[in-house]
Formats: sequence, C-alpha cells, structure tokens
Amino acid sequence: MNMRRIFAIASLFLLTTCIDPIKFDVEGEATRLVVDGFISNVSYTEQCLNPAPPMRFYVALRWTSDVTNVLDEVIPDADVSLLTSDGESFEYSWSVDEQRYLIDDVDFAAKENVEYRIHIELASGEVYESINDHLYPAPAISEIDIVHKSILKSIDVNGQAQIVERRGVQISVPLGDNNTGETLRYRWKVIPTWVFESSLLPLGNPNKRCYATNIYDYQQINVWEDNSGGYNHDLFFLETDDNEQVQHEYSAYITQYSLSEQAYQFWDQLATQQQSGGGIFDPPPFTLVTNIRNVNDGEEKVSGFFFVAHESSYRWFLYPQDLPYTLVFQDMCEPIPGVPFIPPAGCSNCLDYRGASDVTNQKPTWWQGF
Amino acid sequence: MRKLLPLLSYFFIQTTIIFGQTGIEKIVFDQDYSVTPLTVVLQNLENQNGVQFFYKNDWGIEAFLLNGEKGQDALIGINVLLETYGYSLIEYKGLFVIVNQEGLESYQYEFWDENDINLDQYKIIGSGKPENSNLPVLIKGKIIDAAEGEPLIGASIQILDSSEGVVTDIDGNFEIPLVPGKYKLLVQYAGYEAQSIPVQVINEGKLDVELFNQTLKLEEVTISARSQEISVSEKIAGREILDIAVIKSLPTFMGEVDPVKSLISLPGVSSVGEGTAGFNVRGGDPGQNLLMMDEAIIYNSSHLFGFFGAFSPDMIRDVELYKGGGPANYGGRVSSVLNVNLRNGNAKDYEVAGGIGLISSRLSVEGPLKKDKTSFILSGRTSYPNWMLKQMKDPDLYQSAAGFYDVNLKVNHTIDENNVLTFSGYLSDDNFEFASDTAYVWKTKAAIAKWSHRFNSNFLMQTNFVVSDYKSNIENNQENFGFDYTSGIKNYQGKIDFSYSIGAAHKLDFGISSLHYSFDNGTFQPNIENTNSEAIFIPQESALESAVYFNDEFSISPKVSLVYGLRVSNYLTLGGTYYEFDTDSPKSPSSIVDTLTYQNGEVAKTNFGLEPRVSFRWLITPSSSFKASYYRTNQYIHLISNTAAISPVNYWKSSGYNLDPSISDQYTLGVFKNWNDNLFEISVEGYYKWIQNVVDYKNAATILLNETLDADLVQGKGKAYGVEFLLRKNRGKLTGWLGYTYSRSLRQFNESPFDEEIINDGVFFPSNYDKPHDMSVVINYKFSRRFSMNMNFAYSTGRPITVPVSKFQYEDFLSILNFSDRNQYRVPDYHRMDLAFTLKSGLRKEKKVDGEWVFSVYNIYGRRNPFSVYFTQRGNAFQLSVLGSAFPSISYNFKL
Repeated sequence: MNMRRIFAIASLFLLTTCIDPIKFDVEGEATRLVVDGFISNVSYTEQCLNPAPPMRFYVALRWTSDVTNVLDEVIPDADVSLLTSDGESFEYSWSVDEQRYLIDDVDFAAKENVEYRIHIELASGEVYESINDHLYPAPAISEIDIVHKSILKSIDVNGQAQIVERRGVQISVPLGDNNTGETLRYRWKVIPTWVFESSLLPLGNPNKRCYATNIYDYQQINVWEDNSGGYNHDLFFLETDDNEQVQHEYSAYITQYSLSEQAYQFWDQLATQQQSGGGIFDPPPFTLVTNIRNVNDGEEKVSGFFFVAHESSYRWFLYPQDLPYTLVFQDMCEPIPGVPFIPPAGCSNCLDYRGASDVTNQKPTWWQGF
Repeated sequence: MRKLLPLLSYFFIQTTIIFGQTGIEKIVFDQDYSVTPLTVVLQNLENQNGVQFFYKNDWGIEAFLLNGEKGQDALIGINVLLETYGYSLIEYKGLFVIVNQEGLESYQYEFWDENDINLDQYKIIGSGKPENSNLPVLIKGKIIDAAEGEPLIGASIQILDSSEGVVTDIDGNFEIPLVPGKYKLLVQYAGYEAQSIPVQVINEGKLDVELFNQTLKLEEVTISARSQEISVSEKIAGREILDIAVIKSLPTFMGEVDPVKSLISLPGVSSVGEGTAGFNVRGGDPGQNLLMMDEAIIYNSSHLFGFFGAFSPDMIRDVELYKGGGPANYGGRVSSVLNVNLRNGNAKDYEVAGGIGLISSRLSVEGPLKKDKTSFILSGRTSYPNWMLKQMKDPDLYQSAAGFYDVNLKVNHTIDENNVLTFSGYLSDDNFEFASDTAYVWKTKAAIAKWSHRFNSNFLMQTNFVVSDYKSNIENNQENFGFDYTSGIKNYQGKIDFSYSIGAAHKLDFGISSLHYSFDNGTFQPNIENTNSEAIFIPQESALESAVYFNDEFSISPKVSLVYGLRVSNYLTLGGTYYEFDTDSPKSPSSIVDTLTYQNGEVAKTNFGLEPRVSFRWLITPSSSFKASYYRTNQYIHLISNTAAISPVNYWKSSGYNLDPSISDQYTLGVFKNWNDNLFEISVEGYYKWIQNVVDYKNAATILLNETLDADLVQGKGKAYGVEFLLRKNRGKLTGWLGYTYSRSLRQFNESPFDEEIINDGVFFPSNYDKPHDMSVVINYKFSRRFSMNMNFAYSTGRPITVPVSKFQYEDFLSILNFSDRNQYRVPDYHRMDLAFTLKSGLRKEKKVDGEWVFSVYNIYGRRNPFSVYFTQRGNAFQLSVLGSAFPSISYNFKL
C-alpha cells in the first residue's frame, strides 16, 4: 500500500490547488567526500566466466555538489587501498577511462572470515576509512521462477486515463530454507539487455541488429530481509504487451548481493528515500547512513558506503515463443501512407537506438540464440 | 461598600466596645514611631483615643513597619502605609476597618443606609431578621431558559462592582452567600440576554431568573460565553471558552463552521496548515490533545482530511479549552483538554434549524418528548463534494469520490429535581474513494449515558458511561490485488464525579474513572483473488487506565484563590506481544532477543502516575489579576504519525514494554487587566512546558503494518515555551481581538548510545509545530442589528522542514540527496485574510423563519500559502498550495 501517494493526492482535491517552484538558501553547506565502492567474493577473473560484462572492483571518490547538479566532481589524486584483518593491503589505481580507482589485483576476491576496510588518503592529507565489513555468505541465486500474469495499469489514451490490462511475466527468486537462525539480507540488481533491430535495414547489414542494455530500467531498489526462506521473493514484472524490448529476445542479468546489516540499512534507506518526496503526508526525509569516517575528525560529514558483498548472479533469457500467447507489435518505422513521416531514431541504424544506456552491434559472447 | 461587608465576615473582630462615638476627632500620633510594627501603633492609638481598629489577623499587618512623627495625622499616615501594600483604612459608623483593597472611600459605606428611598425598586430576598446582620446568609436560585424552561448550566451570577460571583450547576441551580444589604446582580449566559437585577437581601431566600434567548432579542452577538471580566477573575489558568455565537461569526472556508478549528484564532493554538486535521496547543502535537464531546473521547476532530469540522455547530453550546492539564478531573493528554459541550434540546417547543452550504448541509430538530421533563435534539449533516472533484484535471481525482456525514442525538430527561438522565450519541462517517478502486473509510461512534444526582444543594454526583470507537479502513476491491486494511481504537469508560461545596471557600471535586482501551494497530487481509500478498496481523493491544482525583477550588480570600488537586493514575498494559531487544545494539528486528506474549487480560506492564495541579490567582484589583499555575500530566497512549499532518490512517498505540508514557510539566505566569468597565481586556501569559518521553521516529521508519514498530520508535525530551498576548474589545459596534504568541517547541533525542537512535546529533531541534511568531486578528463590525462584517487575519512563521542540501552520485544513481538535519529550514511564512458578511432576517420576534445569509471570502488576497513542500529526486523544490486563491462561498442558516 502506498499511503504516501494516495494521501498526497487526496489533499489536492480542491479547485485552487497550485504548485510553484521554491528555493531554499542552502549555501554554506560544506562539500563532503563521497565514497562509492564495494568488493565481493567473485574476482574480476572469475567474473570473466560469467554471462555478463566483468567489472573490476572499484572505488569512486567524488565531492558532493549542489542538489541541481548532474555529474559530480571526481577526485583523481588520492591514494586508495584495501586493508584486511590479515594485515594485507591491496592497492587501487586511477583509471582515466572509468574516472574511478580500480583494484590492481584482478584475482582479488573477498574471503570469508576476513574483515575489510577501504583506506583513502586525499592529496590534502586527510585520511578516511570505512568501518570493517566482511562476507555474509548466502545461498547463491541459481534459478528464478516466472509466472505469466496480467496486471491492471492506468495509461493515457487520447488524453484520457484508462485502466487497462497488461500481460507480462512476474520474475521471482526462490529463497531456500534458511535454518541458520541468522537473518540474511539481500539486494538484487537487475540489468536488462535486449535485441533491437532496425526494420528499415536489410538482413545482413551490420547495423541491422543491436544489443541494447539499460542500467536505469530497474532502478527501483530491491532489498529483502529473510529469516526463514522457503518462499519466492518478487524481483520485477516485465510487461510484454507493447514492449519492444521483448519483440526479439530479452535477457536480464540478476546479481544477488548478500550484505551486512549496516550495508543493508544503507540500501534500504536509499530505497525509502527514492519513494518519498517531502510532502505533508510523507515521513521526514533524512540523510543516508554511511560507514566512512575521517580518521582524524569523526564529526566530519561524509557520504557514501563501501560494502563487502557475497555475490552470485543469474542470467535469464526470454524468447517470444516462450510466452503462452502471441505478441503483436506495431512497426514504428513503417510509414503511414499520406502522412509526412520522419523515421524514429534507430530505424535506419540500430546504433542510433535511444531506448538504452548502452547499444552495441557486437554480439556479446554470452548471448544465446540468433 | 457593597463589596466590603462580605469581607467583614472574615474578620477576626477584636473585642472592644465602642463608646457612643458619633464623630471622629482628629487622631494624631502620640509619639514618634520609627519602623514600628503597625499593630503596635494601632494598639497605642486604641489605648490613647478610645477607638477600635478592625483587621484580619492572618493578613500579617504586623509586618508593616510605620514611621511617624508625634502630632502627625495618624489616619493619613496609616493609610499611606497600608496603600503601599494594597490595603486601605476606612471609617464605618465610627469604626476603623482595614480592608485588603485600596482606594475605597468611606462614603461608599454609607450606601448601606436602611432608609434608602428607592428601596421599593429592589427585589426583596428573605424575610424576618437574620441572626446576625453582619454574617452572610445563603441565597439560592435557579437560572432557566425563559422560552423552554430548560435549566442553563454554567450561567454566571455576578455581584456588580465586585469580583464575587458563582455559576449554575448541572441543574441550573446556584447558591451565593451574601451579607444582608443591597446588591445589583448581573445574570449572564452565552447567547442569552443578560439581566441586571437589583436585590435587597434581608435574610436567607430564593431568587429564580429566566433568561431570554438573545437571537430574538435586541442585543446580538456577545464575544464570550462568560462575563466580560472572566479572563481576570477565572481561577483556572489557561482556560479558554469560545461560545458558539463567536464561532459562527468567524469567516469560514466554504461557509463550513468548524468549532474546533476556530480555536486557532486564540493565542497558543495553531495548526500545521489549512486543510489539515488536528491542532497544536503550546507546541504540542495533535495527539497530545484530549478531545471530548460531552465527556466522550473523540479521536478524529475533522472530516475529509481536515477541511471540515467534525461537529455540527447547531448542536454545540460552547467549546472549552484547557491549555495544559486543566483541573485534576481531566487527564490522559499532555498538551490540552478540549470539551465540545453539546446543548440540550428545547423542553417546551419543537424547533427546526439548519444550514445549506456549497459542500454540506445540515438539519437539526429539537423539542420536548415530555414537556418540561424530557427533551431531545437530533442533528445531522451530509456532504456533496463530488461536484468539485469532477472539475479536477487529474484523471485519478476525476474518478474519485468523497463524502461524509455525521449524526448527533441528545436526550435529556429530568426525573425529579435531584435526578437528571442524559443520553448522547454521535456517529461520523467519512469516505474517500480514490480512482474508483481504493476506498478509504473512517468512522467514529460514541455514546454517552449520564446520570446527574443531587444529594443536597452542596453535594452533587455525576456518573458517566461512555463508549468511543474509531476505525480506519482501506478497501481495495480489484480482483488481482484487493485487500482490506483496518486499524482503530475503542474505549469503554466509567466515571463518577462528585462536587461538594464547603461554605463559600471550598469547592471540592473528586472522583474516580476507569477507561478500557482496545487498540487495533493494523490488520491487512488480502482478498481471495490476491495471491501475491500475505495477511498481516499486528498484535492487538489493550489497556486499562484508571484514576482517582480530587480538586479543591479554594477561595482563600475574595482576592486570592488557589485551585489545587492531585490525580493519581494507573495504567495497565494488558495482553499483547512485545519484543525484548539486545541492549548492546540498536533496536531492530535483528536485535530481538526474546518475544514476550501475554494472554488477553494478563498484565504486561504497569505504569503509575502522580499528577499534581495547582493554579493560583491573585485579584490585584477587581479589574486586574495575576495568575500562576503548575500542571503535571501523564499520557499513556501515543498517536503514531510520522508526518507533519495527521491523516486518517494514523493510529493509537499503547504505552507498554518498550514505550514509556509521556509526562508533561507545565508552568505558567500571567497578568490580566480589564479597563473601561470591561470594555477592553489585555493579558500576557507566559508558559514553559517540559515533556518526558515524547515519541519520534528513526530515519526511514515505517509505521503501517510494521510488526516490530517498537524498533523504529525513539523517545526523548520535548520543551516548549512562549508568551501569549491578547488584546480584546468586548462590546460596541466594533468587537474582536488581537492575539499574538511568541513560542518555541523543541525536541531532543540523545538518550541512546547508538547513532541510529539519536536525532540531529542529540541537540534540541524544532518540532514540526514550532512556529515562533503567530498572530491573529479577529474583528466583528456591526453595521446594524441585521448586517455585520467579520474579518480574520492570521500570520505565522512557516513551519520547519528538512531540505536537501547537497547530492551525490552512487553506483548507477545520478542523484542521491543529502538532507539537512531534521527541521532546520522553514517553509515560507503563512498569512491569510478572510472576510464574512452576515445578513440576518428581520428582527420581528414572532417570525416563522429566523434565517441568515453568510457570504464569506476565504483568503481574500489569494495568498499561496504552502501546504507542503516536496522535492524531486533531482533536488528541485516545489511548493503545493491547496487554497492558492480567494475562495468565496455562500451559505444559508435558518431556524424555524
């Protein structure tokens, strides 16, 4: 139940409601260091074997900025290292391409029963460290369940809102029995990739077929605390009606992270913040917890989190023929006779497709089919 | 003079016989006096001159030190000394009397001459000779409505030019002790024409008075239910009464009179914003106000999220607010007690009244069931706001529907002169159907049975049985995700109050009450087709709150009074499931180390409270007073609401294993002054309030359907302080008041060793209701007896909010907001002006329809006051104003 939304709207039912932009003078707020990074039990080398682009463990350092800013100022000249309770140290190096620090050791993977903390020394001499964190092993994600079902949705038809039924697939992850007596804290991240074809190009054209990935599709944070297991936890609902993503072939790469209580709290709070707007029927907004501290000044405000995750992943493919019904798609590139026509982006070159954060015409090695 | 003789009855009269002194020769000091106790000087003068001085021993005049030279006029010297202490010396028939008032002249005393040629103009009370003409005799009487014969409860009988007076009891009876002599009595009651009655008291006797309803009389609106000097003479600090005539005269939003919201025009009372439910008293939150309708606790004070009042104005006699704990017979909330007092039906004739407005209409019927014995009044309201929703551009709202109704019934039956039975019932229902799929319904039901019994004229008993039930319900009937959510609170209360007068000096109130709560903190039941959701049952809680109390209204002297009392409360948390948390880590579901389950009725936790109350009043002069008070109040139930404005889905939770009761200590000091025959009054009252165990919420707390809510609650300290200023004009064509309050309301949560349970680094921060400057101006101008204008202006500092102060990128998220500490910024200031014009029908008394048209314009200059401020994920701020332009309305009220 989303009480917040309903009561915010309920309070609007009077005729003279109006909304105006408003500014608050918040100048004087000192910029804070932001630490963004994590490590897991799956090294870069091991990730290369997974059906997804591998990613070196990173630490991104930035300064906070004004609330209306988009890209924050990065900090390229810090010394970053990972310290362990075993006395080991792993160095990070600045990557100009990625604009963040990458761990030098590509075989590094977090081990059980070892505490890790990130150590950061800025050029100014200020030293920051994260609070120790360690792996919380959890059963790996090895399968998902899908259920074909319909949902009701409000859509705009000729300027009028209408409630319509939409078919789709509910994807959930089975959580096995948890008899450990310990709470397992999960976060799942979903990154979809799908095939997009430029219908105005002939088969065989290298720019006919592209593989589109959008890291922003499932930005709604999915976290869950499990005490017992033995049930399915819903991950996301994929609409299939009027969804061009499922026209040819669709895949979702699901990464499951098992987190410490503190890291879980960070993600859970972020999830709450993203659903709240500061209205009169909203709970008070708040700044997220952090596990980063200035070693010499515990009162300094720092943002971000460095966490240690027990990671596992699963790639799921959906083909149109898997659906118990036949989908019909309207070709957006097909001219309508008698009407001036400007083909949408991507009709003549799949690399121009704008519905994704990353588009390539190079078939990923892990891609099935076609 | 008339005020003096009663004083004499208190004097300890020293035993000296006066020897035929028919004239007073000049009395001089027989020696030099240097810092000599006045009593020594008086003794010397008595010995030297054969005169006698009268005074009351316990005034302590021996502490008054006199300087005087031999041969100096002694009476002048003594008087000068006495006046420095607020006393004076007067001569009466050759006697010298020290009185505890200054400025009295001896000639006033001569008014007591029995040979007054106007004696026949006075109503004679009593016959024969009193045993002692210097001692008071008892005058008894009854004040009734002349048209209906209904006793008027709380009518005031005041001795003119004196601070003395009494009010009628539940049967309209009064008793007042008066020394035989002539007086002018002023009898007043809200909405009725006051009567000034000259009386000659000879001996014990009876005086019955019939008052006429003011709406049919010459004078119209009175500004207060009480006599105009009551703000000065009121013995209980922090007590405010708005009578329904004043409430109806205030400009309203869409013509809808809201007796509860009218209080916001008084100093010390505020709200988060228009269109919000609840109100805030002296920095407290809405859940800290005890709202009662004829003794029944009401948990929802408004309709449709706060835009409309919960009570029909036709049923209401007056609204009585205690800012603070009030007398000891009230308890259970730490900020205020608000009584919405219903009136009785007409016991003589049938009447129909009503009103037609843009949003709602109301109708009331009243009359005798058995003439002069049993009366009833039935009132109902219904609403029709859907035409407004159809104007909305938002498709969800276009498809929504809303409505409310309420019904009130009160039956009053007089068994005999010593026994009265009363039954009241109240039903209120709100519904809001959102986008045709989700229906919100919230209901209040209350019933009160009351037996008033008089053992004798000094000893009264009132027995109440009350049932109150508040339920909030959300129903979703969609096939795939339908559900039914409920929450609520239900209570049964039994209460016996006694009132016992011991002479004129003591009025003792004492009694016992017991209140049983059943809390439904949330039940979520998916419907059959909804297989995606699981049922959630938050464990039910119940509790028994009992109290014994006594309260003494002690008139130490005509000037000095002390209302003191003690309430002893006991709270038993019964049954339920509670969690024990690991003390080495912050409270969270994962830090639960044990689950404690108690059976129904089994005592899980006991709390006990001693709640002393003291209110002191010193009448400096008949028109000025000084007051001080201290109240301690315990609150055992908490309104769970982590938003700035309360909503119908907020619910009440019991104190228990992890939640302690809130305890408030409030101190007040005030000075009150009237002048120009009570035409004007001015007051300044300061307060300081300290509350232990106020409830707040951890960051990101979820309050609905949270099975481990205790882990998300934090308790801390609250403090509020302020100065309230009121300037009021009571009579004439132009009446009204200016109220201004400077106040702060702060919270501190620093008692946990864990950062997660500390808010704003453990320092005091503004509460949601902290609005330092709050001003209201209410002006009523009567152009004629039929046509009047009301203006209302309100200004307040914007309420505190928390705003984003910076952002950062994290992983794939481009913008994550950093917020300021809680409530460190403010929305823009609030101000608004309203106007209302009232045109009454003709003044002929015997007309069939007595009606009035009310034209009002709410927010006349279209101020866009912020209702809420919200932020996009990119940090852009927007202000939402729900009433961003002038809003005219018209309504018609009638009485048949």
